[in-house]
Formats: sequence, structure tokens, C-alpha cells
Amino acid sequence: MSSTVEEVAGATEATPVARLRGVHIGFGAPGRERPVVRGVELDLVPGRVTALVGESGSGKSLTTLALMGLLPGGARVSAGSVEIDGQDTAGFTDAQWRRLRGPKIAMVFQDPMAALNPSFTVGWQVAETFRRHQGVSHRTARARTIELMRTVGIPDAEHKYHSYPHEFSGGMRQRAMIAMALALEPEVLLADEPTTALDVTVQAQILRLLTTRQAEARMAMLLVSHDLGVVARVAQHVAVMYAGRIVEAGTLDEVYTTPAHPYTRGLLDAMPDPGRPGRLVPIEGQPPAPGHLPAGCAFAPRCRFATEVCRTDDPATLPVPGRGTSTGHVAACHHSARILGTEPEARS
Amino acid sequence: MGAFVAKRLGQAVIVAWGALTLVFIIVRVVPGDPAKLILGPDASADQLKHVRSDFGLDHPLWRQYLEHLGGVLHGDLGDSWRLGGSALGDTLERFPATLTLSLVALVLTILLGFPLGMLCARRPGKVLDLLVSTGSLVGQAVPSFWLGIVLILLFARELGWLPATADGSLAGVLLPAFTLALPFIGWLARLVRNGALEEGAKDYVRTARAKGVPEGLVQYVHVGRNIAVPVVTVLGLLMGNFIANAVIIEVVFSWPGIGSLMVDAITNRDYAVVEAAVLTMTVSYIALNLLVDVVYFALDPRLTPENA
Repeated sequence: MSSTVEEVAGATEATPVARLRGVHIGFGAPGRERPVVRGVELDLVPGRVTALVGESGSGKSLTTLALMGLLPGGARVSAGSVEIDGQDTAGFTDAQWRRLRGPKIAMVFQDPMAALNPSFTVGWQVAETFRRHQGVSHRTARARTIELMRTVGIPDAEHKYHSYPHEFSGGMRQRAMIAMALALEPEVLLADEPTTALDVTVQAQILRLLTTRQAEARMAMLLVSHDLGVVARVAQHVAVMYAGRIVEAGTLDEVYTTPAHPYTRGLLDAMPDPGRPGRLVPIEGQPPAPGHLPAGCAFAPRCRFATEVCRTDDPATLPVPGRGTSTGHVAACHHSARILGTEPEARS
Repeated sequence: MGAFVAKRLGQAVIVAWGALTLVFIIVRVVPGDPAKLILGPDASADQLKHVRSDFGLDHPLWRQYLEHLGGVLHGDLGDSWRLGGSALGDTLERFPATLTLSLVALVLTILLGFPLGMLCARRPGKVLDLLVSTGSLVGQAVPSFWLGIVLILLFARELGWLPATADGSLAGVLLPAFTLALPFIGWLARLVRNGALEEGAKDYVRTARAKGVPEGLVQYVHVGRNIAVPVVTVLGLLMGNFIANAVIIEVVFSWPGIGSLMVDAITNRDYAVVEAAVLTMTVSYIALNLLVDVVYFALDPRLTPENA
């Protein structure tokens, strides 16, 4: 485990392929949008798996879609920039985005049944990536697809090429989605809850497939997940999102062993741990609805450390105190120092 | 699949028999004596009696009906009183003209309605969308004979772009076909629009975009294929509708199809021809529906004859 952290410390020197700089995403008319994502900073570096952790509705998926230029209708990046290869994508045309989607940046979605078109064969859908970007014939695209389907562990690929999504198992469908994403050997791979819709037995296989391919190709990978166990197995960097903000980010080790934000702390306390038996400690309350954020820190109403300042001033994202050699451990909390020095909440 | 088609064919026979029986009753219930129409107002009682017995009209209705059914089973729908030849032969001779008219109308409906619906789906609630939804209501409310006459006045008389009646050319079919199609273009556009909006929100559309597929192909290939099943359903119904609506349109445009043949036959109480024309329309309607059902399986891989 410690060797992983050292490797990562070295890898941070590399230039990010994709980065989000103070990205705000809102729904509604310009100037009056309801902010759903607020000032997200994220660097995706070759060879590194970054995990984006948070509850549903925290803005993880929108943040990820912004990296693909695929925000849903009505949503837009209202401030900040999405950069790919150091280039701001703000003025990108559809055609410019299309050239990136596939060869540069690709995505694996949460529910492979819904993400595959029910009316076309799986093979045809994977092959489409080759046909669009490489301008190859149907025959060449098919040959490449069958080869690719084999490498992602789809047995009998030649025959399965002609199967429809409903004829595949859940795990096989996700393998097909991964094949589609890996087809053009992208530099950035976004995986939005890639194992959530799958059977537990299959989850581990799919995760292994993703991480193996990520490591081999030294891809920059963003793993969106609410499963801290999955994140611990796969990621080297972690960013925790709450109510549209990244409230804490750092290496896996930093965030998991010395959480500096009470929300991260709460998430970890709510996770089963063989070393700390007893009842899990839930985070009381509900996250605020987008557009109905409380004044001050969005987490304050649920926070057991909250004081007066938390209810009036939204904390800035600052380096976590006392971490001189840090690789960038940051947190957005007025009381980081206090939280670092506190024992985890007792389990009963 | 074989069993499915066999079952449908069995149902088709029952439907055809029902239509045959209904028409048999209706034409005989409607006032008007064929013998008088054939011989004219000055015919003597003896002459009338002679003609009636020639055509079996003096038999009781149940006997006429059974003889008629027996004839149908042997492919004989009787002879036309007016034209002298076999009623079925006359009808089938005119049928290709009706089929051509309906097919051209169908192609026009698809070529105009489908893209229009796709365009509306891109900007729902905007000007074009509202125009099309209003237009489709107006289009269906307008009687087709009136629309036909207006189109003749506009395109044939005022502008002189298209011939008003059948002259055997492609241009000649355009005006009647467009008259048939117009009320349904907006209707199809609405259907395509609603389907495209519903399908467009699905995850697979995002997947296609994430692969870098251009928007046009996303809409027409990925979404289009998934709205094909409902669209094909209504196109099948529409084609049947066109064949039936042709009755009016063919008269307005003097189109030599089975619609105008049937109207003539009704006027002249030419029972056999009316029956042959209705049977032809019924059978083609049934055949279309069967064709649509079979096409489903090709369009939606999840359908099988068992779960259909």
C-alpha cells in the first residue's frame, strides 16, 4: 500500500491531460442559474486513478459529463474552465468535441443495459467507434471489434458480436461498454459508478478489468463512486464532493487515514471496518437540495463540529494544516485542524 | 414464426368473411332495384322479372347469400351487370392504380412527416413544433374532397404546375397522392416527435454521443431505429386508410382505381362489383396488418412470436 502512495507522489509531477478549474455548473437561464456544481478543481493525470466520492445528487455525474462536453439539456458550465490537453473547451464546436470523444476521452456508464441501444447488436455498437473515427470499412471494424471484445474478456466474441444487449448478462454488457470506451485507446477514461448496477460477484471482475487496462495503458482515470470500499481498492487520489463542492481532496492515504473534513470523516465512520466492530455511525440529516443551499457551509446543518462561523461563512478550500510534505491534501472546513486531532466517533 | 403467421391467416379468413357478409346485407338493404337500373324506367314487368331471374335476384336472400359464399370460395364473385365481365377481374384490373396512389401517398407522408417530426423534437415548444401540432389538427379536420378541389384549383388551374387528372405520368399521381397524404403528414410528425423526445432522453443516446457519433446519425440511426416500431404500426394503418380514402379522392381526381369503380358500382347497384371491391380492400388491409406484424420482428430484436 505504501509503495502505491510513493508512486503516486512521483506521478503528480506529470501534466494533467484533463483538468477542471473552478468549474460551476448550473441549470437555468444565464445569470439566474441554480448552481449544482460549485467551483470544482480536478486534475486527471496519466497513470493515476482519481476517485470522485459523494452521495447521489452531489454533482459527481454532472462534473464527469462536463469533461465529455455532454451536460444534459439546460445545464451548462457557468464559470471556470474545462481544459483538455491544456486547451480550454469553452468555445468548442460539436465537431471539436466529437473528435475528442473516443480517441482522447471516453466514458463507461453506470447502467450498461440502459447505456446500450436495444435495437442494435453489441458488436455493431462497439464497431461504430472504429467506423466513426478511423473511417474503416465494416469488415475491418468488425475484425477490430472482435479482437477487442476478446481482450475485455467476452468469450466466443465472434459469435457474441451478433448478439443484442438483452441477450448479454449484466457483466458482459459492462465488458462491452468497456470495450467501446477502450476502442481508440483514450488517454482519459471516465467511469461513472461502473459496478453499481452489477451483481456483487461480477463487480470485482469488472473493477479488475478496468484497473488492469488503466495501468497497462497509463490512462488517466476518473472513478465516480459512492462506495468507499471500491475506491480504496482502485484509486490513488480521492476527491470528496458534497452539495456541488469538492470538500476534501488528496491522496487515498491522506483522505482515508487523516480526513480533515467532517463529511469525509462521517463517510468513513459510516463504513464497515473489521478493525472497529460495532454499529455503524450514520450521518444524520439529508444533503441540501440544489438551489436551496444554507448560508455558510452547506454541511453545517448536519455537522457535529459546526460553530457560529460555519453558519455564516462558506469555508474556502485550503491546504490541510500541518501537512508540509503533502501532495495537495486540501479541505474546505473552518475546523480542519480540530477534526484532524479528534478521534473517530465511538461505535456502540 | 410459421405458427404465428398461420394463426394470423386464420383470423384473416374470419375477418374477410365478416366483411363479405356485411357488404352483402348492406347493398341489398339500400333501396334501388338493379333490374330497373339496367333496363331503364320504361321496362315492362315481364322484362324486369326476366332480368331478376337471370341474376338470381328472385331467390330468397339466404339462398343468394349461400350461392354468393360458394362462389367466393371458388374465386367467383359473380359478373358485373353493367360491364358484363367478371366483377373480380374488373376490380383487380383497377387495383394497381389504387395501390400506386396509396404507395405514393405513403412515401410522401414518410418523406415529409419523419424529418418534420425529428426537427420538432430538436426544439420542442418552439415555433415549428407549435405550427406542426396545430397544422396536424387542422389537416385532419379538413374534409379530403374539399382539400382535393382546393389543391386542383391552386396547382392545376392557377399555377398550372401539375395535371388535375390522371394522365399516366408521375406528375399526375402527385396531386391526388398529396391530397391523401396531407392530413397525415402532421399526424406522423407528431408521432415521430413524441417518440424522438421520449427516446432521446434515454442513456443509449448519451452513449452514442460519447462515442463521437455526429448528432444527425444519433437521431436518425440510434433514435430512429427505436421509434421504428410505433411508426411502422401507424404506417400500416395509414396505408389501409389510404386505400379506403381513395374512394373519395379517386372520384375528385378521376383516378381510375377501385375507389372510383366502387362509387360507380354503388350508384348503379352493381352488387357484384361492390362486393368484389370491398373484398379486395379488406384483404389488402389484412395483408398490410400481417406484413406490419412480421416487420416488427425484424425491427425489434427483443420481440419473439411468443411474447408479441
